[in-house]
Amino acid sequence: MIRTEALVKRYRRCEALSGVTLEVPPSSVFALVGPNGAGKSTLIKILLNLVRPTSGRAELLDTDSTRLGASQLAHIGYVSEEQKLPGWMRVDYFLSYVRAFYPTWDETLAGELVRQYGLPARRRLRELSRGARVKAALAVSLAYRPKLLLLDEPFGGLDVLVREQLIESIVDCTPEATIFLASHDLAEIESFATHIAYLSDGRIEFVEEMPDLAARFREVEVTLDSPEPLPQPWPAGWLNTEQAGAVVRFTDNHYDESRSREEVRRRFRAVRNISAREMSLRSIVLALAKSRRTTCA
Amino acid sequence: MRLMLHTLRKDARRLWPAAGVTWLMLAVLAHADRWRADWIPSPLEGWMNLLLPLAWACLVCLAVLEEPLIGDRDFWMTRPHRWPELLAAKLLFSTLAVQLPLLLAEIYILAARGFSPAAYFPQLLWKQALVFGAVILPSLAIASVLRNFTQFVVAVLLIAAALAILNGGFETFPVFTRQSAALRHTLEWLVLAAGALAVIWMQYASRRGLPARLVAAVAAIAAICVSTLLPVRAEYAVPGKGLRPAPRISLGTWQIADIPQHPMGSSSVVASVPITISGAADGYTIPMVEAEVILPDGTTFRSTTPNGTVSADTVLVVSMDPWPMFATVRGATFGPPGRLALRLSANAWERVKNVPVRIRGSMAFEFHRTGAATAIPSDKGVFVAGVGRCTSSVVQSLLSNDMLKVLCESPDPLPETLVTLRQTIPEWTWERRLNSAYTLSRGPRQTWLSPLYRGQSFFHLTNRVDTVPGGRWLVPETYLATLRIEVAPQLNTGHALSHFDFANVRLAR
Repeated sequence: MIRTEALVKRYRRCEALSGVTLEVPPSSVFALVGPNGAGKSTLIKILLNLVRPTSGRAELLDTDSTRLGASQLAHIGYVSEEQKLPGWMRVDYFLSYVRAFYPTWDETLAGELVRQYGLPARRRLRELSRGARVKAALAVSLAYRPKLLLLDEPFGGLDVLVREQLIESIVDCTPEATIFLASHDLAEIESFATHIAYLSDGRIEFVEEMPDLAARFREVEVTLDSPEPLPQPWPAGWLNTEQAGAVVRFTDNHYDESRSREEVRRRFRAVRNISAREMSLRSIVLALAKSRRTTCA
Repeated sequence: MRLMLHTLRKDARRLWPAAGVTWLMLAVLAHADRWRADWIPSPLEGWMNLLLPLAWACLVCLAVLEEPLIGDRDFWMTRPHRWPELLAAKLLFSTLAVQLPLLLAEIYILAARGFSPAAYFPQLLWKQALVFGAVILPSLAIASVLRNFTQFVVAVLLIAAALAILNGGFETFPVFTRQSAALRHTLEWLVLAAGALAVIWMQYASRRGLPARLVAAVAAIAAICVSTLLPVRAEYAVPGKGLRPAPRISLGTWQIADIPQHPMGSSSVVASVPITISGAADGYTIPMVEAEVILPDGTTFRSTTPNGTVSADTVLVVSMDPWPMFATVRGATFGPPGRLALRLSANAWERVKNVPVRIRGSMAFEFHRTGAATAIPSDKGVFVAGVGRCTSSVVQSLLSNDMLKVLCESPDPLPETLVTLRQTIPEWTWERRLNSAYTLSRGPRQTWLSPLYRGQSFFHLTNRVDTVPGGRWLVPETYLATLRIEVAPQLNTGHALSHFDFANVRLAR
């Protein structure tokens, strides 16, 4: 559905994307996560031909992104927190204006979304709250049941209830669509993403299915009989190691129940207990980000 | 087609208040033009001729910025617009909001001033093309490479100010000797139009902001180069080629000492070169002279098109008379002591006055034949063949003196036209050309939006009858009842471009 190959985007001296290669399978909910400034929005803008790549290529719906035309855009929905809506339009006119561009527009669904989101039909878009504007943008992007939905930080700053409501409606309205969602708010992704990619400093650190990721990461706590120095060399996959007396904690990014326990016992002299806790997506990403952070001397 | 109309309806819904403002301005302009009986517009009409195109430009810009082509955040960019339909919607909006109202206003003015709009439809269409080329197309192109309306307003004000200054838009007095610039303007327009079309295509077809801005900059630089580098003689080289034998220009035989040198204040000197023009069959005017004064050491002073922005310290201005406003010389009266007057800065004069110089250059000739004269009654207007509708009236000058005014107007450009007053007993005549006098006016004088060309002559009236017969200025009021007012076009019979090259000329007495 989406494919990128060695995508590079340079703004003068700053490299926003550095050779991003991705493949988003059809009907997946693909979450692109990463810190602010990682290049998520740039990647989505390249996908939509809003920005041209410096090198590499991107493909959506089997079409090169630089050749996206009206026939492809008729099947693509896009909602972004920074999108400029025509503020002078009233909500009802906004919907009727956009409707004309989409042969697959479902008037019943549009009406249902407006009702569900509680959008005031006669209010101008510029008079709406931020949350209501996002709802309006989402309504006109869901009402034609797009095959591909690109969401760029769509729920930033919205309260939890609104966010849950919008996520629910996205999943309900586009059950077969591919959703590509960029966010640094991990809580909004965890509940419905099937795939996840971590983008940092313009580079993809990993791309994985959510269950595999959840299975791979564990927060491991090792209790020793007595304090002892950390064995060297320390495995590269054990991140963010902390030691407090006889207790050693780290994040294992390739956790395997038997192999990991055996590895711990082999490296420490006297292990009293090993516990491994599942990690939330937020904890995983935090651990990854923390492991890359440069420490001050 | 469906989406084009859909976008057009949206733009109309959004922009009708702004369009309404331009329609109001157009109505004011049309009203002022319809009642104008002078070739100089009122300050209101003059300003409207400047402000209305700016308002139109802003309106077109607002239409374009409904779907801005620069940036990556606008909602419409990810919607399935087809660019030809989007562009067509913008052009159709411009046609309906700008061009159609202008056409209707011009039809109204023509009809109200006694001209059949149907008979002059080609001229009306030409005006539409002019507005499209001069306002709509550049506005579309500029708006398509700018981010917002503020940037557009700044850009348009800068361009408008530059154009107004370069074209004498703020001059109080008309300039009679402005040389023809049709070829220069056509080439400038072609360069800019090609650039604008390329920019519009690049932006609407693929939104390539940076390359489109580069193309716009290159087109602007190319137009400036055409404007500054194209020699004035090029204006006359094309129409003058091979149609008529070119008159010969030779150095006059009389003594240079007989020709006065005019100090022009302390900054410049006008030196005269005696010349003889021969071989011209018809009467003619000389609308253009270009000259170079070359010193023995190779230093060259070149003439330039006179305008208010050229420093007299660095350039040489050439005219056929020390007084530029009387530069037009007719063959019938041209003769010894014919002279080429060179206005030189004081510094230049010091360098050239005591050395033998080479003077070479070109002169353009427009040949004329006087057409049939038509008498116009004093109480109503008549159509004069080859000129237009002419009327006469007695008006008051600024000093409250009575003047007889003859006004001619036409949807076609007015030719050189001779207005003659004939008194049979005693046999006196007074001759003036249309637009050989001027009216003091404040504010801009350009009336390019008017569908009519107007020209006029004034004859000052006096209550004395002992005026010198044939005097050019004063007409006894008592003759008004018996005066015959004749209007005769000077029919253009051709052009020629002649060159001259005089060696070893000494300019000092």
